[in-house]
Amino acid sequence: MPILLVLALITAAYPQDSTQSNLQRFDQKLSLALKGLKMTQADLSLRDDYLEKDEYRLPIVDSLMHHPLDMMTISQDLLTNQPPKYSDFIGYSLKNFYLTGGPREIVRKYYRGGGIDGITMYRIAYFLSGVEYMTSHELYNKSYAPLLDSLILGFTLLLEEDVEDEFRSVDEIDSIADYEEEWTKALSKMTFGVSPEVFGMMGQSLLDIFKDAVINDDKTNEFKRKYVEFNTRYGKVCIGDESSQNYTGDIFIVIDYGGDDTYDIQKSGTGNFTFILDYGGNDTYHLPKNRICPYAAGANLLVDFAGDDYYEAGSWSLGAGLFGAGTLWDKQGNDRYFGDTFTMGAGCFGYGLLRDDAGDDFYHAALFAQGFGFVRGVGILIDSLGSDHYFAGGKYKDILRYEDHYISLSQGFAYGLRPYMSGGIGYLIDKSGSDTYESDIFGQGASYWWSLGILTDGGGNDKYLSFQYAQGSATHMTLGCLYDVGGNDCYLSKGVSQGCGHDRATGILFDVSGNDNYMSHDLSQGAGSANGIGIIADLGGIDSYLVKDLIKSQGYGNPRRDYGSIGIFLDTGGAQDTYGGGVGADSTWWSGSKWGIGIDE
Amino acid sequence: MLHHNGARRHTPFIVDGAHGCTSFAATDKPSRRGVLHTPLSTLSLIIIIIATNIFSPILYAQNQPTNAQIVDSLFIRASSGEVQYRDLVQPAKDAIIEMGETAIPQMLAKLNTRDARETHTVVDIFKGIGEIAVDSLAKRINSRDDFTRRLAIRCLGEIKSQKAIASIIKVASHDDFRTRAGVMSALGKIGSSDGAFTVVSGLDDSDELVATAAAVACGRIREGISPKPLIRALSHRYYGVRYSAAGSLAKLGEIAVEPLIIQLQTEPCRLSTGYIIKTLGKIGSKKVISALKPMLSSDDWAIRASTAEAFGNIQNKKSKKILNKALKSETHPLVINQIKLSLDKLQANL
Repeated sequence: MPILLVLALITAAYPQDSTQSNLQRFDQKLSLALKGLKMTQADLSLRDDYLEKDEYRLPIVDSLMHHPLDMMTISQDLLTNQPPKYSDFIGYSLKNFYLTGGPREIVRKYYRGGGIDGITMYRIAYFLSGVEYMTSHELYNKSYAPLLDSLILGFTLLLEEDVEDEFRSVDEIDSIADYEEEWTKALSKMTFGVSPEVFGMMGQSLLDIFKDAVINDDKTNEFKRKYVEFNTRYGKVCIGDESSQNYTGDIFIVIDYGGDDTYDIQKSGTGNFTFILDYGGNDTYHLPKNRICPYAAGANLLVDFAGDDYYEAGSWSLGAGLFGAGTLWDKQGNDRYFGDTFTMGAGCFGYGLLRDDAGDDFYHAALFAQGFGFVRGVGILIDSLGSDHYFAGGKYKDILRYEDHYISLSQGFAYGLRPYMSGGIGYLIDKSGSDTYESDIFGQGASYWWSLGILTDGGGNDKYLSFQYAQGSATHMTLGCLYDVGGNDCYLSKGVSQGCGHDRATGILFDVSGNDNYMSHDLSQGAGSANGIGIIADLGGIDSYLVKDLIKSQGYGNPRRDYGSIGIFLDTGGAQDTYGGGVGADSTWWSGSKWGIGIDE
Repeated sequence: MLHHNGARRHTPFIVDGAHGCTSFAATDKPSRRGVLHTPLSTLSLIIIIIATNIFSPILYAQNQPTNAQIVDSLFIRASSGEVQYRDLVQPAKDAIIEMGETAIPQMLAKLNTRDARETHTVVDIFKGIGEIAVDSLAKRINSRDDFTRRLAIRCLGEIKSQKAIASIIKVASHDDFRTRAGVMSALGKIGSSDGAFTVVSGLDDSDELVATAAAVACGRIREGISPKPLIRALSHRYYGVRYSAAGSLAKLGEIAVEPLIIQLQTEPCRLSTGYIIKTLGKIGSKKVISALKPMLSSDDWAIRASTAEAFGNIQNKKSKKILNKALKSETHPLVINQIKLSLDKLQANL
């Protein structure tokens, strides 16, 4: 039983909690709720073949379609374990990268001067050797260049948005849609038999430096020069001392030992790799704003060891992997991150990771960000400590649905190209602190089209604000989960949210403890729509639930294709809950629709 | 663009740019501004196209757009999803439907669409065109393209022409379960007893989605459908089949009462029991009261809840009396809730 595994994991992580009894109660009440619907737990299952499978489907998505409650196990696991690797999702692995040969010999190919100590030499050699490891793959052969360029351009076209779209005529929009469809079909042919995931696999292996004792040693500084710079075939290598530096231009490697530094990184075609190790200071990073991802078919790493930092970028960076891998690791300080599209933990045919270990941080992006996975991609944002603020949206209007809302598709969100390509994996993991999450259309543990989106929060009094398709929401044969372990939280979203599965999809909102407030208009709080499954479960605390629509929430399932959906509402801990507007009430059971049920005990 | 990206300036195939770098960056952006902007409202455009077609023989001779072009232009509007163009959708569909037979060849070319919105639009239009499209659609059932075949079947179901049944049944054993499910659904929508044997057979299909569609179809056809296979389907492993079979049994009406009561009394405590009770309630026959009454004393709260719900559908003073009595002794919150809902319902209708 998946729930028992969740139970064991949570108990290990929060032994002081009454979580164990809460979860036991959940499992019991879920079975009872299903019995009330004349169902069993076997009915809480979807299929992976409603349509013909495409070759982009990730195995974990298929598995979770059949066993959607396992999303809770994964959500808890993400809070307690190291983040998963790209190969965990792809289904095969490559030989991991490790440094072979002496650092000095590796660096001597490009620099024969003195003044570089052994530790610094190792750090440079690691990345030099890593790039040689990656570029030795046959896909870097020149004969593949046109194919790669097309893939990169094609996926750029599919991911980028234009603020002018809202002003276009119906013919223009149709023309654009046709054009995109042509591209999508062409891209399907291009990826056949090529396995372009190898860039992400190799890149992630190279960037997996979290346990490397030399790279992570921020106590030892044996670099005695003020500044050293030299060129390589991959770009410029810069080494700076503890004074403040300005690093400008097309840079390959920076090893900086302190000071309040300013980075103005531009990529103009020398190579698709940048590695920055900054060991201290309050730094300002201006990262590339190229339309085409400069790190595609490559890798980029930025590790900032200390200070309150400012990160400003366009699209495709701040921990993004498009046909490659990108990692941004900030170890300390109150940091501010600004980006546009496909940023802050985003992956497509690759792996993107933004890891922030401490501080009260602010993340601001427009689209496809903050734990976003596109086709064959994995995007993860992990923030361990501090009270953080996440914002996604506000730039690209949702022209399909509204005249006054913006698409977000962020914050533990994953997305596929309907109907041609299944989507990826998007995880937003915030382990502690009282956090604020803001999105507009699509976000906060949600997904669209054969994907998996999870937002998991380990504690604190959190605010979740969105408008639609959010907070444990899944639309069109896909999976979304918002999992919050503790704190007095506030959830606000207009609809198709808060544990809602639409069109053979499963959406779960799972709140383990705390006095929480849930507000929505309709099709929320345990709503199944069009043969979907929607579950909301609050396992403890004195909670309040407010909805506007009397019927379509709080344990509601509607019919489609002549049969039903499943909507389950469970509040299994704490009396004196407050209800307004809907069918729910404290300390009772109800079934306001044929395929929906609610239990408050 | 989300759902609609790109613009028609690049050739979407292999391009010869710099490998993974920025040399084809900013300046190479496909200019969306390059696409024609039209100040003319699209609704006006529809009217002009149609008016031109009908009223202007001179233009007709000189610059007449082909039927295919007209259909394509209208179809763009009919399948438009953007909020600002939503008002154009129905007029455009109506305009294609109005074209009738002349629109059919170009509409048939759209059967292979994989776009959900276009799919709905195709169905709506063929439904509107009706009977005259049946022969052409029936030929498409033999298409090797899965999408064409399935959408043709779906359109035929919506047209509800008996003429299509023989062609549809020919693919009832197709390897593709989605095609088989479409067959069941279409036969149900047509509603003729000529499809009865096929849909009853579909209840035993190894695929639960086919069985679900078959169960629904049984209730739509009714004539020639025996209750027994549907009662058997109440124990199906998949809730979609169980619920749909229950719904169809209710539609069969009185002929289902006796076998349902026998089943209830033979095996009173199975997953199917709740569905039997629910179905008997929906049929609403007075005959079922005595059979259901003992179920309110079941040890199983779920059975009692189903029974309470069932009595709410039986418009009889006895139902009210039985529920009021049960309410006095009932302790389970869901059953109490269900009794109260049923009493409210009876109060409103009696």
